[in-house]
Amino acid sequence: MTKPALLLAVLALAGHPPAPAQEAQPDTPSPGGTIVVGSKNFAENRLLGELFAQLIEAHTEVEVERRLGLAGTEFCFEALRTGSIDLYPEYTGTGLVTLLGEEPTASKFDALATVRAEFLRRFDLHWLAPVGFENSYELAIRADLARSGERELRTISDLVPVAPTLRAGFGYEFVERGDGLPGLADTYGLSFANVQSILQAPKYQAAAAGAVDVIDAYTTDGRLLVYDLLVLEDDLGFFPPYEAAPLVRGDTLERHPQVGAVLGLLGQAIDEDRMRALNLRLQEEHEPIEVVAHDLLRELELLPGDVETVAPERQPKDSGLAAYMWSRRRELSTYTAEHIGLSAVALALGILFAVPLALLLDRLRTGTSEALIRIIGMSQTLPSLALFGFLIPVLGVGVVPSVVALWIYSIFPILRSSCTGLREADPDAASAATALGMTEGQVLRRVRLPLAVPTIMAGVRTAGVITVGTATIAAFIGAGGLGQPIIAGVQLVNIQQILSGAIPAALLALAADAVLGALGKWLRPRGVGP
Amino acid sequence: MRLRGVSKVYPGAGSADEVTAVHGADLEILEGETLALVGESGCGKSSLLRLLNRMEEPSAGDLYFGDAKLSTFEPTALRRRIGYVQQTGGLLPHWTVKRNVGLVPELLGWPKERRRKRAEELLRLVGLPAATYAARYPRELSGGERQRVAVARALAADPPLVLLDEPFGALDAITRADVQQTFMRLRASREQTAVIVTHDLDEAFLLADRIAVMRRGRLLQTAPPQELIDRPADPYVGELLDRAAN
Repeated sequence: MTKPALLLAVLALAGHPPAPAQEAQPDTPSPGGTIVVGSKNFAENRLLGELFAQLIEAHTEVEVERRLGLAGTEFCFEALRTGSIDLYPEYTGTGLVTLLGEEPTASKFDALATVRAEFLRRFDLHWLAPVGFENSYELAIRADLARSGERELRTISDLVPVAPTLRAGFGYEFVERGDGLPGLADTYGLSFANVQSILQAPKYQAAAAGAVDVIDAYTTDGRLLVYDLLVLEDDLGFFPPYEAAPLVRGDTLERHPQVGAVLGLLGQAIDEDRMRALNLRLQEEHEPIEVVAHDLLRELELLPGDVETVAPERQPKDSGLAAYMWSRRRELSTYTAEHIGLSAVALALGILFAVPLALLLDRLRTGTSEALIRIIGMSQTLPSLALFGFLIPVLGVGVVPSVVALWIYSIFPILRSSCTGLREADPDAASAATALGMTEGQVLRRVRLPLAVPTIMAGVRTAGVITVGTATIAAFIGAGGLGQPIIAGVQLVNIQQILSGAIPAALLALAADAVLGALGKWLRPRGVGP
Repeated sequence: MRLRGVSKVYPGAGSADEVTAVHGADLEILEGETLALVGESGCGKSSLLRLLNRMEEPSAGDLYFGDAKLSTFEPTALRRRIGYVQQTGGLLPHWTVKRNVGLVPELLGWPKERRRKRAEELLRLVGLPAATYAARYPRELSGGERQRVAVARALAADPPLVLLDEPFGALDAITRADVQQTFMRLRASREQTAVIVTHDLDEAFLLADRIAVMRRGRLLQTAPPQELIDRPADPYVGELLDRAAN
């Protein structure tokens, strides 16, 4: 087999990556069919998603795919609307204000009635029975600032006169949402010395460290108990009620009516205190979500007695990083396989697209092709979340948009190096070959392309390292990979979890560099190069 | 091969930047002769050479190959019948010496065995025994050896015409003399026409039957060496010869 043929064979293999474990095997459909459960990217919502998934698995034949930790409300909602996921946990207030754009209402019954009617009418999406607790936004202030000297702050109205001297650290969504800071500032006439956007999880630490003074919190957030923070009363009743409930596609309920019935078992089952305690277990004890969800279902006696359920593996507390990674070896190897699969497919597609494109651009005048390359180069500057924002309405969430995003990032370095390689590959040899009677195509195939291989492969190597490094973003839209533990770890402030993804990801990038470097060496024609 | 009023103009950014490389050249290349094109760098001699195998197209005038206009030949087919040696770097670096020499025969579809025999024969003629050199890559050769391979490659398919563009210009004096000798030995045994571009008058005198002197795109005089010395048609020709004599 010639080198190029062998390479093509390898690329073809790369086109069939190990099927990510989340993907149900299409060949052997489970008798009950498959549904996809999503969640947002913070601990409580992930836990609810896991809870829904385990409940469905315990009571039905339906196979459940998990796409937990999608990056934000918009991503979840778009994924649901376009059918990439079948259900996710949502909050009535969010549905009312953020998704429908309606005015907030103070009554949780009104809120639920409105979202039920409107979501059904506009999107054929169903709000099932709320699980019981309300999780509203609230403002929390460092206790030492709330009570200093004469000052005693109890309500948000009390905060207004001192706010201009305080620094706020708010979640990204809170800063943007109508039911967040903009509406709050309007209602109370509130303005801070400065406002920083911080992820939900590290906010508490930032406040504890004195880096910010006021944060947005959730009612059910366990950490309010741990950190020395004081919740300010919403005395003007600005924050709408946020009851948590499963939001499900109408066609999913039609296909799997039992899913609706099973999720109904959770109706009013979890109150605020219980949710707060659960959140604390996730956020401060760093217990795995699967374990916490399983414990809860058992406590609620929602696991069928006659069904043998396998409790998720528990790991010893306070173990070292190595022990932690060993205890999660199954998940980590799945994430690694997904990561390699996503990167390999994206890189292979990048090569198959960029090299022929370079051959095409090579026929244009240098100025024209340079201009086109520079335009394509701008793809490199697109922030990944913005790119997902464009891709999700078209491609949904999961593997496909992730591969497309990674593919887009891989094109430029390969294109750049291919064009340079073709242009600068021994012009004397190319002109001699022409003068001796090679056709243009022969010169390209037999002289310029082989001589450009080292330069092209240098670009492929760069693209490979970029792709492996960037593939962590796939976890934002439910495609798994090593970004999964990194993002979950950031949300749960679990350093071990972050490292359990970050270390293999870094090693993979190094491995990609080494493998592609060796491949480049092997493909380099004899007689060329160092 | 004949040239009638051939001009070559390279367009510039504006009409003021146009460069006339060859200006109304009339020239007849006789069958079997070695013709040297001499002149300073930039006088248009390489451009003139590249018009002969249609690497360049004339801006005006006509070229004839035998009785047919050169423009009626398909360029790649034409080039396969015209040997070509350029100053440096013309060997394909990723091909072995043997494969480089066999390039034109390969394009012409010669069977492998015939190509191998021909390559070995030519390598022997240029003083590079195949046993030692056939499997080497160009970067494993000295500059002189590379130009020998380039000459062997140009002659591989026995073309009726060979074009050489400063073929020995980049070699040191001793190597150059050596390769020139080899080239003359090769020329002595065949009926090939050769056009050699050089800025080195000594080389022209050594190798050529006739010499064409060019200056600023114009052909000043085309004559055998002795006639150039005896009856220079232009003061520049005399000047050039004087300079070479010193």
